Amino acid sequence: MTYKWIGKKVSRIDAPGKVSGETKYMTDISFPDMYWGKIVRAEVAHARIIEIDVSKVEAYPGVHCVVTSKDVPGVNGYGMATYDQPVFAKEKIRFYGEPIAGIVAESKAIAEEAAKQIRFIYEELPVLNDLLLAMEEDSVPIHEKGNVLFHRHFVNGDAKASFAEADLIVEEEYQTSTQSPSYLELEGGVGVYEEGKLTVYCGTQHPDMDRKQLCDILAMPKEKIRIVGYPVGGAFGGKVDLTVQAQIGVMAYKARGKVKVINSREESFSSCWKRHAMQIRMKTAVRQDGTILANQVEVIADTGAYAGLGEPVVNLALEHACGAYMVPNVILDGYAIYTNNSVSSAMRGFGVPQANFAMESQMELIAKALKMDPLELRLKNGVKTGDKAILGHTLSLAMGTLSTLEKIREIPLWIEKEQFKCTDNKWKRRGVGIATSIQGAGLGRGLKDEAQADLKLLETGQFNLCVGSPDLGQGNLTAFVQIAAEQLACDVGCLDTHCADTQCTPDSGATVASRTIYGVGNAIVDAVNNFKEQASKFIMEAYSLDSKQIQFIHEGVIVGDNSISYSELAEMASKEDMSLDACGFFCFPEADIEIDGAIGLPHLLYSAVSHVALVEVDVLTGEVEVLEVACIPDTGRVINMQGLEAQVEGGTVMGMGYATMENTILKDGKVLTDNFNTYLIPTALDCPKIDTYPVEVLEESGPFAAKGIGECVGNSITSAVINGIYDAVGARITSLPADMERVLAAIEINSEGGESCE
Amino acid sequence: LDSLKNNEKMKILAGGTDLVVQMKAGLLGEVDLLDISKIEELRSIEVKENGIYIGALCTLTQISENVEITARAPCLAQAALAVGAVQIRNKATIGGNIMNASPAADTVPALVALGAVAHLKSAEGTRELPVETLLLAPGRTLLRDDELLIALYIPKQPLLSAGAFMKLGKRKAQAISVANLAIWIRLDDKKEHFLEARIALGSGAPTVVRIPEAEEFLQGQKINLENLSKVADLVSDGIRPITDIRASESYRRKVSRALCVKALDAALGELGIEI
Repeated sequence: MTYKWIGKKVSRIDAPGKVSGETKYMTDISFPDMYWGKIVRAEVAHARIIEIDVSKVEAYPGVHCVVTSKDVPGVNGYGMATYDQPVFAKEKIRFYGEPIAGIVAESKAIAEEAAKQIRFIYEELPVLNDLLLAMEEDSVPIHEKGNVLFHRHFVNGDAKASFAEADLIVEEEYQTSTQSPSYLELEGGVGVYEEGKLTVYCGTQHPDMDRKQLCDILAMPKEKIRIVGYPVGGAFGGKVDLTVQAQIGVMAYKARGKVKVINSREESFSSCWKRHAMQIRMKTAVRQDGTILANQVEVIADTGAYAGLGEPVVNLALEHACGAYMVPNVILDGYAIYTNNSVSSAMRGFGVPQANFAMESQMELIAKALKMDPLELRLKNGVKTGDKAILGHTLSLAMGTLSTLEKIREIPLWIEKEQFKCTDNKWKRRGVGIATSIQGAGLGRGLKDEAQADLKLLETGQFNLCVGSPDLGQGNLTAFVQIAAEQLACDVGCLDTHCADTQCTPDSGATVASRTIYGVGNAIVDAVNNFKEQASKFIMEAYSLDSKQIQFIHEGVIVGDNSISYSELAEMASKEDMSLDACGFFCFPEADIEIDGAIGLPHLLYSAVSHVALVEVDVLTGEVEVLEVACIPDTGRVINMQGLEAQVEGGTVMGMGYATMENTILKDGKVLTDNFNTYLIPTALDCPKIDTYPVEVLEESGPFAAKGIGECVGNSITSAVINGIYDAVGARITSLPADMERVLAAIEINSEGGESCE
Repeated sequence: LDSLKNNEKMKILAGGTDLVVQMKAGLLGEVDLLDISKIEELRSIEVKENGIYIGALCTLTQISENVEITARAPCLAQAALAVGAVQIRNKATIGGNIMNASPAADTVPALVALGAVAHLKSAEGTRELPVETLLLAPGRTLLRDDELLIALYIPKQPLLSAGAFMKLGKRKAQAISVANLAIWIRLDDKKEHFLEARIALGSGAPTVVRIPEAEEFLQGQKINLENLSKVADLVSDGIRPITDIRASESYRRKVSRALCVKALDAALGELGIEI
């Protein structure tokens, strides 16, 4: 089957606006009669509130009104899993940067000056910044129910027996850092309250979920709240939960007008949702031939001051605790712990990068101990379709791990690795590391992962495609248009899009969990099929024809010997007072078993990615440079090659930054790395050469046999870099990031040195 | 220059890449600004008989690309290129990089190693000070309130001498130095012994510092690995680094040693000597 649009490098439909600067992000929106809002944030990480006196702020010239917890009309709380986070703090402060009040003023400068007039009286409580101390039973509770947000224990098979019969047991502890999503567009937007209705313009990953929470916060029905959430200047999971929509909503409501709020970068780093820091202990039992028999895993995650998605993140880490390998016996324990270390929730990979780093490090230790080739060890244990996964469910859909690993054998970076590792520099050693990862797509069992899409024929003959899941900058909207165009047999240029506006787009679910190409893509195919059926029926009635004679082509419809353009068809329908629009729907298939109490586990659909990284280490300073990377994604059928390469490159650089430099440093709960001069992410000069080698293991249940890839491309690179350092200098890094100081210390401990190229 | 007199609140604006950031962060309180960025006379680089004169408003891009500097004082060009990123180097001036008095300033160790002299001008006249004596503490210099840094003079380099600059940052661009070091050496006619050395290190003390113990040690020493190692130890012992968000004290000592070895190796390499 040849396709006209699928697999092609179709230019991004949002490119012209973004290149010319015409695109207006939500933080670019302004109205002539709007106020500026400022969120006043606590400058203490843990405290009991005695009084928040805003009378002087209210009296400040140019201030229109001030809001505190008292002004929240509905529930003063939000959260994706549980409403444990106040819109404005009322009794307690649980993290540095928590909102305590909102100032609505005539200008930004006035709002900021007026903020100094707030009288905030509180009693400091001990700051719980140590995960293990916070876990202890007698530690000061951050929330009433204690600091252990949740604990999950899961057993499959007989791990104890496996440990007894194993030839090798590898045990190690790992620590991951707190990564920030570091999107370019800061959290912000405009709230408009007029005639009893509220509109919030704010970049988001799921407008419908934002609306649901705002309905509860404002005690308003959903018909009265509109969320406009597209375009978005990056999210990476950090805009799944509410960012500032709740505060904007309450400010606009009290102001009875328009209020614009944009976080500063410092506010963003202090209050944005970050990747959970985790302490992971792994004990892996292996047979002499490399077969993994069992894995015992303990994951302790720092979820910060509020739950966010802490529980599902830890659940997903457990589901992926054995990486891309078939492990019949497991004992898994996962904890999410409240601390005063800012807030963590969803971030690209959702718990998988942490678990993958630990497991892929174990694999390297196993390969070394057994003197096995690291690729052969991975091939021996890689999961395949039909296997039972570690949670006991059957992997009945396409599993690409072995294909991605086998592809490594054809890649120059791997075949000629000894040549690549040669360097003239006397202080540098090079190594090549590999790693592989899978990532469950969709929300998982028990969460009803549904997507809708609408397709309408306009009078102009153009189609309007409406989806609720926003394009966050990764290009899924372009892929949606390609899917629709292919299925309609029309040109991509015939489609206009509407995205992420609760007033005119259906709920397609969130842009999360690598779910939109598969889930929303399928809903779009369904919408096109429904449209064709509807249009055929209409034409058949009009022409008294049999449907076999109707064929859809790019300009319109061929009916027997005649052709009707889409605009003629629209006109015909309009005369009959009929609108040709169709809805599409898709619901993710679910795994064959459920895990008691673990909503969202397990998954059925997985993407797979392997990475090979050439790494250079300076043995005098510990500097690590990633020189070249090969990424082998299995995304089923590739919808847009250029889009895939962009995802691969972005994910690779993000995962590389996680490996080598990204780290949120806190002191007594205050984020010290609160701008890009201290929170370091890779710059263009730090980026390696990245080659993409897609393997297309077709997933027949996907749209044109495609599945998502947004998260998985960022996972295994982290371990590939760490394993490359090991190959270069024999030093094992067990704590992220492998910054130069840590690498130098590891080199000193393990002065084996690298292998020379002679 | 008259406007500088009796106005303690007056800050001099050149490239603004440090000053504006500090103002925005509220570190300076209320200030008056004297914008000197349009004074064309301070933007030139001239080679005279006794050395190179660099106007204080020369941008770091200009310095890193100037053929006279890349030929005669390559370590200064390297240091200029190590600052921030292209956009910053296009605005930031060498005068500003010095007068901001950051211990991590990249051009300062190179200037000190090259024996650069600062020309300070006031309404009363001009005085000349070696760059290294100008800097007192983070953010503090010997510049009087009524003075302006107008130029830098780099003396003509003798035969058989070479300099090198090394920077350690946590990434390849937009990185404040964890440590930086510049070295200048002069060898004997047979290229067997060091005659003279200047070693200047940044981010290892409250200001960029020279390491006299190490410099004195090298005088007359044979060029060999053992002496390279010894001088690197003296550098590592001779600094007073701190632990901050970028690195620990002990790491800074270790890498100062490493940078010294690398810089000596590079400088000797310039003179055709492989160690």
